[in-house]
Amino acid sequence: MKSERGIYLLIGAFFFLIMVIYFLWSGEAGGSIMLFAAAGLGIMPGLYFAWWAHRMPPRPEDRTDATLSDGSGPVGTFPANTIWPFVLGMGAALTALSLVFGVWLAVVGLAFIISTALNVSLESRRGGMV
Amino acid sequence: MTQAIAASVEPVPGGIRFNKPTMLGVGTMVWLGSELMFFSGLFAAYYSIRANATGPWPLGGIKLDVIQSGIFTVILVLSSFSMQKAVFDLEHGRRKSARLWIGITMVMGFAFLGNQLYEWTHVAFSPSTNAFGSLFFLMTGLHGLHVFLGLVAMAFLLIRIAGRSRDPGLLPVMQSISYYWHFVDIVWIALYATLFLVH
Repeated sequence: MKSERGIYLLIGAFFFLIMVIYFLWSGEAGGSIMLFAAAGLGIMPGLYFAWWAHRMPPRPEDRTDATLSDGSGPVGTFPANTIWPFVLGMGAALTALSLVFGVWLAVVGLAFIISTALNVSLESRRGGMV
Repeated sequence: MTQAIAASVEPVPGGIRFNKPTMLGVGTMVWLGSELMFFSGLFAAYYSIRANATGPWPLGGIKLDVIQSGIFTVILVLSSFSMQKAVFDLEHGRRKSARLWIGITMVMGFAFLGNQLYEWTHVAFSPSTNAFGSLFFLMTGLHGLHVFLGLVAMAFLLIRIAGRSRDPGLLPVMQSISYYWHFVDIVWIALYATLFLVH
């Protein structure tokens, strides 16, 4: 995690430096703010990885003495097959089309979207597909 | 065993041990990067208009209630702490306490939104008054929408915590919502400083 941290923080530091130079040179606030946010694009994940590097032991890929077997085991928790992204897409499409055909279609579309939100939550509750 | 341990919300003797951040968590951070650029566009617009404005700022001698909004800023900042408390509780399998602290966070979030609505209806200007009015309503409105969506997410989270105890996806979702909430909180601090303090 420490190498990821370093990469992101370096990107952030670079944009911060550019921001300081830009601001001192131009004295213009709008662009400086965008550059400041660009620095944040590096600093935010950088600090996130730094926090995780702090709260977990080094992964096998962080150690030089790791063996292949150290990296074995489950990779992660993945969602099972589920119908709700499809329903959500239907709802979003219908809601967008309501701009053309009228508000009544948004009612149908929002019904799809709301039922998706509910059922995705309840899927985990029922212990079915997560 | 890596993710399996991190994803378990059963009580673990001696506290939970993490092996790596969840994929959902990393994805949330990347998405928050795009949110950051979104809000920075608004800030850039604000400061560009301010730099080009003639006369005093805010335009038209607009006065805002710094103290009242300051109080609700503190409430929103405190809600970040209560949210983190809920995350730590869930990480250690204390589901009941986690639900309580999410509830407290939601009450504080709704209090903040309530103040936002009060402000919107009581300020002496409208979005069409001048450029400051437009930006004030646009920025606080979009931020308020983010707060509201965070509260909706927390409501669904409460439903999910009430569900089965062995839900491997629950803890990453909880952590990700907390990242989002902290982000919205930090954006508000910058918004408050920009709209209310820096004149």
